[in-house]
Amino acid sequence: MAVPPTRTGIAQQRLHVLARAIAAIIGGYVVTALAVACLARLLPMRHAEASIAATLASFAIYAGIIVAIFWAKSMLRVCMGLGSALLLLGAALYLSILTGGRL
Amino acid sequence: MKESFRQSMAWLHTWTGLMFGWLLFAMFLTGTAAYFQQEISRWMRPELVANADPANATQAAIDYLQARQPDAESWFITPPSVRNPATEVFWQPKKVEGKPPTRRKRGETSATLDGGGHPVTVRETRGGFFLYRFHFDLHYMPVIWARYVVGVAAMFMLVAILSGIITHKKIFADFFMLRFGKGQRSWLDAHNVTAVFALPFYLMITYTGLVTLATQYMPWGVMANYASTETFFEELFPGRADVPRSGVAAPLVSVSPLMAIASRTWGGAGVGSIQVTNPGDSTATITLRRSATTAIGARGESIVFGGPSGKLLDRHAQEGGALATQSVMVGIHAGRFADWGLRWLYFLSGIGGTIMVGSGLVLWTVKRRAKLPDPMQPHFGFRLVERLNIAAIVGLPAGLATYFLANRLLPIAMADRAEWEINSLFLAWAGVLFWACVRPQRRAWVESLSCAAALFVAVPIVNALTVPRNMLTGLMTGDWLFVAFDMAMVALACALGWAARKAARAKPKTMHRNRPNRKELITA
Amino acid sequence: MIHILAICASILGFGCLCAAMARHQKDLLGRPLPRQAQRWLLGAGGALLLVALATDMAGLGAAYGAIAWFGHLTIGAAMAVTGLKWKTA
Repeated sequence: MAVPPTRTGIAQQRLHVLARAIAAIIGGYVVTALAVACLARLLPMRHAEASIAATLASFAIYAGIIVAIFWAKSMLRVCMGLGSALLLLGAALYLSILTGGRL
Repeated sequence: MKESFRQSMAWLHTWTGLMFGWLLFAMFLTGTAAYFQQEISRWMRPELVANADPANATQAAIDYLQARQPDAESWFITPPSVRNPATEVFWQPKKVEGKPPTRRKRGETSATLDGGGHPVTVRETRGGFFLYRFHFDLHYMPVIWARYVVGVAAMFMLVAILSGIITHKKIFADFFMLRFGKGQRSWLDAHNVTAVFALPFYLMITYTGLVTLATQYMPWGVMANYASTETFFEELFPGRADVPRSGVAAPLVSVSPLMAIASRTWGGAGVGSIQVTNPGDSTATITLRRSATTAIGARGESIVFGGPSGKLLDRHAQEGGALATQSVMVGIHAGRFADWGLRWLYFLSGIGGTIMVGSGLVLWTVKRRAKLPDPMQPHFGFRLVERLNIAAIVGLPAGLATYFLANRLLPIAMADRAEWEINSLFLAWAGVLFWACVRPQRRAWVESLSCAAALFVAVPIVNALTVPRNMLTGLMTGDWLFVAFDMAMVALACALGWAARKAARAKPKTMHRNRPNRKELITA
Repeated sequence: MIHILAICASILGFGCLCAAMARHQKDLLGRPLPRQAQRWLLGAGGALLLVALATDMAGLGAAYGAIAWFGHLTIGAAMAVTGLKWKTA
């Protein structure tokens, strides 16, 4: 996020920041939700225990994702990372519930 | 690459901090005060002096309920403890067939009793409990929304802490750096020092705070395994299913032997609360819960006895590592287990957090003012932040003092008295906001700080004039609560007054630098 | 009592750590220290903080002690900075 001092530069930078913020807040939350759900299903504990353990870890996961999104070199990488995480976790969760069902 | 990472983190820190700084300041301040919520409640109900034996008081409370609410669904009793001299009871009235339970006002289904089971007339107030609830429920808005807002703020805080650590590269080199009278540099030092000193506390309190409401913010872990949350809670806390009354009357056994058994089972820990379901019926049960003051975990064990037989029916202890972890996280946040020493440590760390947030907010304006094209004519956004800073940092302390004053000054018989105490807190807060908007900003700091200091000075004076317990009587009779409370008020007044003086004396050169010294935040 | 002991150990500990830093030596001691002495002070400071932890855990139990220790560290560091300001003021 270099800062070109021109007016269009500033506008452009603000746009970048807005994009990152949206990716971090919304994208980050969705990925966290999926990760927590996957963890809750896959952790080798009682169901209730696994649900709680995953929920306890959720805020650390979310914070880590947010920091990583602001860290990433380009928005393209952010989108690719979020997209692949969504696909992977979503598929894992879908398959897990499809085969295992819920209580 | 590395530098741009730090830059992006600095940006993240600045703006996440500002976005929720005002709310976080209020949350830190009320949360810190809530570590002494029982003491504040006691001060706000000066009529209560009884300090009874818990077992006798519980029996007396049961007799009271037996006489007045014999066919309630259940009774809940909180016996007196070191921190709360009265017995608090409330009951769930009998359900009427085909009629939905109506919302009742407080007081219709609850009572405050003395050690002999007689209702005591105390002034209507929500006491320190309101400050505790405001910390996460806010006010004048639906609780569920408030908790989302508060959760978002806490998440921003977590990100602000992490990005702050990354941004502040010389965290250890600057550990002891605090330079006064250097404008922006001093504010930065104050922010760093308060942030670094209690960093483990801030991380802990923010994370565990999120955990207290985690199933609302992150329901996905539960939803992944359970189609309905009820199944989850049923599996987690296998309660006794509601047993309908049999209709066969049977008297309850005496409760104090049961309390003794429970206490022995828990290695000497006291009983925190007692629940009696289906009282007076042959199906009655008595559930005793372990007092929160004896273990870090917030979810204490419980033990269930048959009401007419006194036989042990059930024992719930904690099981499972994750559940225990959650219980400890919630417990460590609320600090109910803490004795006086630990409680003061919590309180001081909380004050540190309040100063950290406050100095961060001021730093935002101080840093930007120097870079403005014309520092004397800042643009609207800057002026807004500046004014909101005054309202947030001085307004709430002024409101708290007003809350205490209202408790003493509002007529005892006033309708909705408790609600008006709270309204007066927010009226004072709004007053400071109004003042901050109409006055030049530096004058606004000085005047609102002085006003807040005066309000705090007024608290012990008004207290001495309106109730028979105060600092002097406290010193003579060993009523340390009133001594400590008055001293705390005077200390807050001194700190605010000192800050006002600093703000007034700031050199004209630093005039455009929001001078009120960081000490005013201590008051918070 | 445990609190006071632990706070004292923590103040001393942070005092040593502070004295071990070149930028504070002039304020605190009036002269710079040789490298060897700095290293000793660093070690002593760290050890004193551990002494505070041990005191807390022995006096209050492992869990309560650990919680109290963080509080005592905060107070110790704050007092050390106050002391430093006092000397330079």
